[in-house]
Amino acid sequence: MDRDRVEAAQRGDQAAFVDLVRSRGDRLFAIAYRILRDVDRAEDALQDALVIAWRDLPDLRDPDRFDAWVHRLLTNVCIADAGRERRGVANLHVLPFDDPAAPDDLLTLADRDQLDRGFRRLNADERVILVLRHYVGYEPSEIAELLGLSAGTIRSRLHHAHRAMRAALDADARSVAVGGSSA
Amino acid sequence: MNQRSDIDRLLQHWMDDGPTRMPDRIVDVVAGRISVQRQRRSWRLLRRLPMNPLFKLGAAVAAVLVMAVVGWNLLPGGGGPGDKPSPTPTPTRPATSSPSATAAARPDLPDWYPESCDPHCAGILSAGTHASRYLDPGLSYSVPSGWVNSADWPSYLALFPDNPSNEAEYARSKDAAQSIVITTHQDNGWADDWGICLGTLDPGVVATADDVMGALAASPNLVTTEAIPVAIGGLEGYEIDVRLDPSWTGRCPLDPQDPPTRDFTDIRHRLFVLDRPGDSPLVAIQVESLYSAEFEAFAAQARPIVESFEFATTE
Repeated sequence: MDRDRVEAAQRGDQAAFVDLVRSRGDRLFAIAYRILRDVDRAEDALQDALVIAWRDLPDLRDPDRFDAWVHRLLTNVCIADAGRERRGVANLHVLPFDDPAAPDDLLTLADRDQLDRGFRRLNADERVILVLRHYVGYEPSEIAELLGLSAGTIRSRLHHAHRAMRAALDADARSVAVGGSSA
Repeated sequence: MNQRSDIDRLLQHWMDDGPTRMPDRIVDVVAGRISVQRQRRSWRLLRRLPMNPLFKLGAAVAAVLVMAVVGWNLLPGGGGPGDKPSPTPTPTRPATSSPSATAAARPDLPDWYPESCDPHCAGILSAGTHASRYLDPGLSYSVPSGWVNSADWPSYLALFPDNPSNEAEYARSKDAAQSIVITTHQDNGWADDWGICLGTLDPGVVATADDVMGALAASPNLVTTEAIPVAIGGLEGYEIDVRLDPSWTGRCPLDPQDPPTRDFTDIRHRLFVLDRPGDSPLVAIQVESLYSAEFEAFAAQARPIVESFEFATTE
């Protein structure tokens, strides 16, 4: 059924494309938000990616690959946006949540804060890879295919990103240990 | 928290937080935008059209016209008659283009390399000087004919020659046997991209090219040549050859879940590790051959390309 919608949209059926947007929008928005960590920028990125998808849809060879193709467009737009952030555009760190993050048995609020800081220090492509791996659930080989990089590069990037995130948590642990007596 | 070793689970848990519903207004905005946005014509479908002689003639004329228009538009300054040509492209700042420009180019790739890297690659390169699009810092580089730009990301740019060795390796392992890779990283992640098993080397302590040389020399699982001071593309640092010590018995590559897929002791690297001004991360240029027997010839082929590099070093 989705294949029919994709093929219709490829032929210029705007309603079919809007249907595809409705059915995929939540997932795509969630991905964009997790890469950019900002609701407004995630909205802008998603809108731009979807318009590019509409424009280039006739070139999609396999309609069954629509989801992976849109993921790729979206991550490209997010990377471009994150590149602008790194060059000094004001970066607002207000993080709205559907459900306010609360302490749980796995992550404390301090852990979340440290993870957020560590994540923002990563390069844009590393953020994308982390989100595709841990939120979308892609295997490294799938990420490699999606991003046009080798699987070895993806694993290397994951390794580095994991280490950076682990270091962020360890820094938190050290600060707790050092400041613990006075806290 | 007491289970920090399980970073996979922590990250998944952390990422589960946050909005999961697209604001309704996005659908309206997108519907409005696509109502005035024309779709591209599919070149894929055009290529599949059967060609009779008359159509061939028309297609040839059309192709010439397209090339003329494209060539005109590619002229410096948009191709105006009075524009002065620029000898080399200026290294671009990364990712400043609007999203709509992101998908404008359709890079050609070798037939044996059926990857989709658009827009993060330039594909088959013409002989001459080219500029990176995303790499930070921006880069210009010159290549002879027969080279391919297969990746151009903010922290990663890759070039490889379109030659039988790479074609065979790609068929075997989906990797390039010979390549030039440029990486930059925050947090000293440079070590991960060298493709060799770095074993006990701790990149966390590395801040400068001097530090890298010291760490490489001190690493018991590596064999290195003497570091030679170099200046490349406006940056200064060191050139050094690195390989894995054949007597080392540790596990490669870095990810313990990876099965050993090749003889890592046969990989050869010539590294150019360059400092950047201020707190910017290092630039590492890696000339790599997966096979030692091919290394020196490839390194000689790669050297003039590396020496052509010009980095946009001003912030």
